[in-house]
This record gives sequence, structure tokens and C-alpha cells, in this order.
Amino acid sequence: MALKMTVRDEGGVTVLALDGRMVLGEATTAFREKVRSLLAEGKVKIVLNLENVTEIDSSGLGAFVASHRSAASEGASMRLCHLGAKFKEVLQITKLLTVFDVSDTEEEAVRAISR
Amino acid sequence: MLEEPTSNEAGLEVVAPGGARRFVRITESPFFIGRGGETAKHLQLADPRISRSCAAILVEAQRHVLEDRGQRHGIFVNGEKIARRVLDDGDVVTFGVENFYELKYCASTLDSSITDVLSRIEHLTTSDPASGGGLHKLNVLLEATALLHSRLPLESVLGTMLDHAITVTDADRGLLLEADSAGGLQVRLARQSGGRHLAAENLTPSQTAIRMALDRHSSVITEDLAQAVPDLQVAVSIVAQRLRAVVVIPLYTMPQHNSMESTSHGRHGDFLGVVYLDSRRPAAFSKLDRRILDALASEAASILDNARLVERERERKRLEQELGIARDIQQALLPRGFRDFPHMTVSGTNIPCLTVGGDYFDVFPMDNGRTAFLIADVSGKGLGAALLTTMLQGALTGMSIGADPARVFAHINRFLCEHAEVGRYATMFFGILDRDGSLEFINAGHPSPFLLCEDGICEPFSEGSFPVGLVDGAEYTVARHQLRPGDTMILFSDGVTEAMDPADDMFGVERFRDALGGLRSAPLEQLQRVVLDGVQRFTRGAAQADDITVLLVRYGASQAS
Repeated sequence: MALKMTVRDEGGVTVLALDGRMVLGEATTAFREKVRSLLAEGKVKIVLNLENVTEIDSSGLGAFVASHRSAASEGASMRLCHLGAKFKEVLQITKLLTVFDVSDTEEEAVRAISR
Repeated sequence: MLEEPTSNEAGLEVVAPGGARRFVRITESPFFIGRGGETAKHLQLADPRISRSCAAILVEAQRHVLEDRGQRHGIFVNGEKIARRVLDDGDVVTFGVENFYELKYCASTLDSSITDVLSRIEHLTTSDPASGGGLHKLNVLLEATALLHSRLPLESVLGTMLDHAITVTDADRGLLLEADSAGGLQVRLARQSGGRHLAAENLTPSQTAIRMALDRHSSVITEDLAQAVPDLQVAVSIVAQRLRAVVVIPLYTMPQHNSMESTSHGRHGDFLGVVYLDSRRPAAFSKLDRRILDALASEAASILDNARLVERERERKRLEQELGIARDIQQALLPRGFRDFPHMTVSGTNIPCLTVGGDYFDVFPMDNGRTAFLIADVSGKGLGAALLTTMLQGALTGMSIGADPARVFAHINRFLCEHAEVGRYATMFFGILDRDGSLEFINAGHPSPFLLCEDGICEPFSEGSFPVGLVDGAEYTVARHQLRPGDTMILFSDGVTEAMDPADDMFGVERFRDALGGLRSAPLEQLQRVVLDGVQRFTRGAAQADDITVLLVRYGASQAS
């Protein structure tokens, strides 16, 4: 599969690390499923680590927004880190930088979400 | 009633009471079926139980309609009595009498040469029941047919195969069961001896017998069951069938030579299905030569396999056709031939990366001499994205009847958030240009168009809002800019800037700007060519990964620009 996902616990914060291509198809479906199941397990602090994501297409962006919405509706917080220059630019053009909570590194994201 | 030749190449498979078959093409309308004379001029069934004027087939609205013209015992289609009925491919017509002709309607016939061959094969088969030769020839024919992509009625071929199995084993009835994707078995076809149709519900196959055949990867007859299951009461379904004799032939594809699976399955390939035969006579199959069963197994498997290939190919062609229709619809949405508006000239092009795509653009007049233009890029690609473009175009026509653009966008956003699949959205750039060069625009998450002006190339249209369909309750605002005569806007979808070369480098905004340098006054067609050629040269043959759309708008106070 194009996308690998690993879940870690960092002091009560769930870190979901993504590895590969977040593109139309299995990857976006699997990602949304994963977030849904994390929320169903009662996780309320989720950090998405995009350091090893090589590509995000329009469907990938849609998946991130949809997951963000799901988290918000469950009363959970979600934060993105290690965005990469290209994805940051896409978020700028689509004005979505204001919608997501973003940190540069995982450590900062975990700290910020724990406050 | 006028007699006219039918253009539809449909026909009837006429099955005589003894099992003999022939194809008769429906060559004229009305097509008369009867016992003799004028009213039987197209198909004569010589039997006193047929009325002189029996039935007729007419062409109505490109379909064939069967009419009862006085058959004493009634005309039946698929067992149901009719007075008048539109015929569908595969419908079986009977005449209300036992042991009689049966007509099967085929919506398209084979080439006459293939028809002749099929009847000749039928003769061979019935005259030499012990030989597998006839079936082998049928199999070769099917392979050739698959190659020719001709319209062979598959159910006919499979029916002939099953009839042959029934004849060779001297069974009463037979079922063809096909393996489905869920690992179960579905009844594909049911026949009784004499080449007659059988309602599948009349035969409940013995699961015990089938399971044994699958376990052994080889044919099973009743005697095998009796040996394996000493207490026959346990094989409940056999008792329920009143001790009918049974033959079960499992069908497998030819094993691939280098496949690892062939070692675990022995010498067998993939499981295709089962031929199931039974007889009222309890010892019907006890003298059957195993070699006959093996020959049947291999030929029947080959036929079924080829039939599935032909089916898959036809389905693929059908889908291709549907996509072709969708493409035509989508192309028709785009503005055809850019008429010059009084204060601007326009040029644009759209190249989807699949048959249909998620980009579109439009130009249309508004009130007061203003003209609207837009580019939209729906997330994803292919049919799902394409459907949204048609939705958008419909919604945006609200603009031309005077609705406020910001409210229309908010409305579209609400609609998409509610009705489109989650995560499906569109980025859009929408502009309204007035005669004096004042531009109002809404940028919904789209990259800023370039502006070629006296001072150079810039991207002054970034001010805007979210894409539509992504964020609930998003608000859209109209921003403003003043164009000067000769200024050219270049709207594009990210398929241009994100086009990739074989080394996975992106075309990018910088290269795009460089390509446009010094071309402020060039004719729009030339500018458009430069952009597309630039992308093509850069990608050096790498496959197009996203839809590419470009729309150029030049403001000119005079016609000369």
C-alpha cells in the first residue's frame, strides 16, 4: 500500500506517524478509517506527523480536512507537524492554514496539544 | 401493415422437441410464425397443435414485440401467458403445449457463417455422443470469437456445453454452477435432457456430493458417495431427491506453469465452478468411463473460462462506451469558440488526464455589459470529479440572472458540504470584468492567476477564501482590481504548475513565469501554445498526472488587442 501508519503514545498524546503517499485511493480511505477508530477508542489528543509523507494530492488534503472535522465533532484536538514546504504552500493558497493547528516539530506539537 | 426490412440483426433460436436447433434471423417486420401458408411465411412450425395463424413479431421503437395472433393454447414468454410483449435478449417463447418447439429470442445474431458452424457442430455432437470432439470444436470456436470481439450469445454457448454433458452421460438434468467472488457457488444455468430449458429452482444440488468433488479435485459419482458415507441417511439431500443418481464435475483453469499455487493444488489452476448432473435411474452413472468425465471436465472448464474472459471484455467495452458519453457531455459544457466580447478577448483549453476530468472553465455575459469568467478544479480525478463539474456549472448559472456572487458561492459551499462525498471539494477563481477594466473577483482556494501587464508578471489575486465544499459555513468575499488595456490574465489549474518530469521535479511557478516573459502583447493563441508546449517539453513524456486547464483573458478597450 502507498501509505504506512504507526501509532505511538507520547505521555497521553496519540501520535499518528504517516509514511508514504497521501493520495487518492487506498491511502486516503485507510487514513480516514484509522482516525475514526482512534476517535472511537476515546483518544482526544491526536498529533499527525507528516515528516515521511512524500506526496499529498487534492484528495489527501480533503482527507485531512475531513479528519479534522471528525475530531472536532468528537471534542478531540488534532495537530499537524513536519508539514513540508509544498504542503504548507497548498495550505496557504487554500486558506486552510488558519483551520489547522500546526507545529514545526513533533515535540512542539505534543507540548502544545497537552496544554 | 407495411412490410419493411428490420435493421436490427436479431434472431430466434428454434429448439425442436427432439433437441435439434437452428437459428432464424428476424428479417422482416411483421415476422409471421404459424402452421402454414401466408401466416407462416417466415417461420413455419409444422404441427397440428399450432394454429394456422399463430404469432407475429413486429418492430416498434427499435425493439421487437411478440403478438399472439390466435394460438389456440396461448403464447407464453418465460412461462407467462402474453397477448403482446416486448422481447428481451434470452426470453424463451413457448406455445402452451407439451413437448413442443421452444423459441429463444437473441437480441443480436451471430454472423451467418458462425451460425452455420454452430449448427454443424450440433449435428456432430448428437451423432457421436461418446466423443469429446464436438465440444472441443466448440471451444476452439469460442476462442476465435473472443479474438474477433463478436457478439456471441454466451448463454447459448454455455447451454450447448451443458446439453452436451447431459447427452454424453445420459443424465436427465444438469446445472452449471459458477464460483463467485465471495467463495460461494451460484447457479448459472439449468438444462434438462433434449436440450430444454429448466427452471433452476426445480433442482437442489447435493452439497455433500459437491463438497466431496471439491475436496478430491476430481469428478464424483453416486457410488463414490455411497462408499464414503455408509449411512446414506446422513446425505440428506440425496434422500430428499429420492435417491437420484448424481455426477459432480469440478472445473479448474489450466494451471500456470510458473505459479507457486500449482504445487498446493496439485495439477490444478483456479476453481471455476461445477457441472452437476442427475438422473432418476439410481445406477445411471455407475458404468461411466472416468475418461469421459475427465474429458468433459477439461473441455467444460476451458469453455467456461473463455466465456468469462469474453464477458469481462464486453463489460470493459461497455464501460469505455459510457465514459466516452461522459466525455462528450463534459466537452459540451466548455465554451465553444470564443466569441469576442466588446472589451475582452478570451482563449482557453482543457486537457483531462483520464477520459473525463475534474477541471472546467467558463465565460458568460452578465448584466450591464459585464462578462464573467471562471476556472474550477475539483479534487480527485476521473468520473467522480467530472460529475461535480457539471453540478458547479449548473449552480453558477444563478450568477447570470443577477444573484450576488458571494452568496452564490456560499450556497454552493453549503450544497457541496452537505451532498458531495466527504472530502470532495473544488478550488475556483471567478471574475467579473466590466467595460472600464474594473475587475471583481472571488478566489476560493485557487492559485492566483498571473497578470501580464506593462510592469511585468505578477500574481495579485491571492486575496480570497476557502475552496467550496470543504469548510462548513465558509464565507466568500468579493475583492477588486483594476486592469489596464492590454493586461492579460492567465488562469490555470494546478495540473500545470504541478506537472512532473521523469525525475519527479515539478514544472513550478517560476518556470511558468519564465515561459511567459516578454509575451504581454502576443496573440492569445500563441501565449496558450507557449504554456502548453512549455509543460510538454518539461515533462519529457512522463504521463500526465492531473487535469490541465488554462484560460487567458485579455482586457482591451478596443477590438485591436
